Amino acid sequence: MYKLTVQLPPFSPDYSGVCSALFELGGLLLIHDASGCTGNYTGYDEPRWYGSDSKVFCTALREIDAVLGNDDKLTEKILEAMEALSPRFVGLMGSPVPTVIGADLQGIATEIESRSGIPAFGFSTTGLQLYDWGISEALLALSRRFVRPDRAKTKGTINLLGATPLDFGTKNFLPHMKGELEARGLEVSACFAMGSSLDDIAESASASVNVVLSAGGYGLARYLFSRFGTPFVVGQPLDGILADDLCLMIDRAERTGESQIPGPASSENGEVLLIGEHVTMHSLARRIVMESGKTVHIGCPFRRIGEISGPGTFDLPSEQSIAESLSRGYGSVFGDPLYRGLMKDGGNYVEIPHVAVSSKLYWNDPSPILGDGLSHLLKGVVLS
Amino acid sequence: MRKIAVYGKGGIGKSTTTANLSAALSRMGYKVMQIGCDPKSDSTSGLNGGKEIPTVLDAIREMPDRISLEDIVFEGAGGVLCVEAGGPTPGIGCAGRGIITAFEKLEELNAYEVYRPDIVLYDVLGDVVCGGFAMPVRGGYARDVFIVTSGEKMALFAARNIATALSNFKNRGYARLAGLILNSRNVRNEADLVKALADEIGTSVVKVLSRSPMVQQAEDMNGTVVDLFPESSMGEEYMDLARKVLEGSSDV
Ligand SMILES: Nc1ncnc2c1ncn2[C@@H]1O[C@H](COP(=O)(O)OP(=O)(O)OP(=O)(O)O)[C@@H](O)[C@H]1O
Ligand SMILES: [Mg+2]
Repeated sequence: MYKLTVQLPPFSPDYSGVCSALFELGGLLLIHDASGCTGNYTGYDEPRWYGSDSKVFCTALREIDAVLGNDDKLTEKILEAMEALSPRFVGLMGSPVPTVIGADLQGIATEIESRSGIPAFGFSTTGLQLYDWGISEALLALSRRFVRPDRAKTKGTINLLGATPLDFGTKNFLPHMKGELEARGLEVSACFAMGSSLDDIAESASASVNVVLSAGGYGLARYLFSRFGTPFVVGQPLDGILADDLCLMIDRAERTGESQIPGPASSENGEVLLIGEHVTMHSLARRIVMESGKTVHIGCPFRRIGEISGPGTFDLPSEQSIAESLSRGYGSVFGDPLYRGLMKDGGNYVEIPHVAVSSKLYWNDPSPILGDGLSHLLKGVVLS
Repeated sequence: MRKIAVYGKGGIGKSTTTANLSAALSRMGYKVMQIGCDPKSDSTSGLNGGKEIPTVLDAIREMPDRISLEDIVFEGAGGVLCVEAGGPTPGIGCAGRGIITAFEKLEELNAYEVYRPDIVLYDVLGDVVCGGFAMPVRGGYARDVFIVTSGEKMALFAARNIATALSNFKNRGYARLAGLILNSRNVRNEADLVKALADEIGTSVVKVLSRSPMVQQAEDMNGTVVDLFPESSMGEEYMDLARKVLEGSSDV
């Protein structure tokens, strides 16, 4: 029962991660469910949904189809939809019911591809895992299939890996970070996967360094390194100081061909607690340490990257563990506004909305941890 | 690595044949892993002194978060690596889903990479009754399927169904039918009947196994014919089956 969620909403699940990562790329995305899961994604996990013409559908799985194993019906429906919509690829995702009956989504995707000639991916999402796993699987599948291998690397060119609204919203976060890097003379080849097309992604092997923006992009970075020898760096250029820092790493990675993975930013004792997506919190922690010399703990409710973890970085796999961490008397805490409700006694709490946690509640708000705002924030909170 | 699934009607002799095949292949110097995909969990008992080994689902039931490969892979006679998928509590749960869960656990623990068997044999319950029992023939698992049948009507019927299921799945990159194994029941015209089915479904009879009292005898002694009576003519037949299966299958 320790995984029970009493106060927090369920976090964005794996199929939302897949859809979010593939949303802008012209694919036909299908969640194999009765419609609740698709509604959950389009209604609560996708700020780009209204007004977009993206092809995300529910397969309308019915009890009798599950019982009788009517995969043919599904296959025919998909092939028919493909005729009408001419997608560049198909992504088929599982949800709890297909998981329980053991539907073979990879097998169905293989069949669709062999009958239509259009690339089709089956994702073994279950609705029981978290969004970052879905992002990672989607980006890997996409890259294995579409990135063209025969491209020479161009100096000063980078890819951004792991960008979705679930971590960055749709407001200023990503444009700001991109701007910081471009202002330092770097050119973005492809962003996986916001603001780039499938063709950009196909050409992305020309980047000389990959920048991992979130834990969901980490698996892709490792794949692109093993496949094309492209080194990667991990971090977010939240403000000028972190951008300078990241550019040094990018430069070193480009010169040496070796990935530059920053050391841990947390330490044994922690005066400040950061809860959230690991790369965001790692970058924020570095900045706090630079600004104030305060010690930091990082708590990860989602995927934690082992290589940038150290003493003071820990998993928070349940609501209970988040509540416990919040009761340890930190001087200040940074995290999604909803975690705050788990805090017993007040204390300094800096609200950094995370769409994968608080959904649409704050997704129209600009992020408070960017540019000059960040250093004001740190001066006001951490140093006070 | 070869990954081979053995299907066939209930009680036709799949487990006996598979265990003898494992023993024969291991005698030929191959590292073999036999995975029983049947809630009865008796596939590998002939390789384990008649005892049933703990199953993958038992392990998941007892210690869901702490399972290691040593809890579910057991070395039996001749060094054959034995695994039993297991099943749910009788009368409740879902056996087909159980097979899927067991397979996912093996995958998660990297069983194939850790043990690096030359040959993996899946002994699968009866007919393909639901998605779970098709798991061993899905992409990434078995590449070749052998169906054990006799000349009896129901055995031929089951064999035809299994062959139909495989051909329905051919666009999905599933396993392919590699041949029939005739496990004789000495019915009239048996060889012809089975040959006719093979022609109908576009495959061949790779081996005819005699009906032999020695099989029962070995079973009573809790072993396989190949291990207990290697010099016997039935032992020879199983050795020949192993050669035929190797010829008729290919690496994944
Ligand atoms: N060639 C043979 N000669 C004599 N007896 C045999 C032969 N093959 C199998 N048998 C006997 O047939 C019986 C059933 O065999 P086995 O348990 O291997 O069948 P199965 O197909 O695995 O059954 P199930 O579908 O229940 O798993 C066993 O008692 C076995 O000893
Ligand atoms: Mg059996």
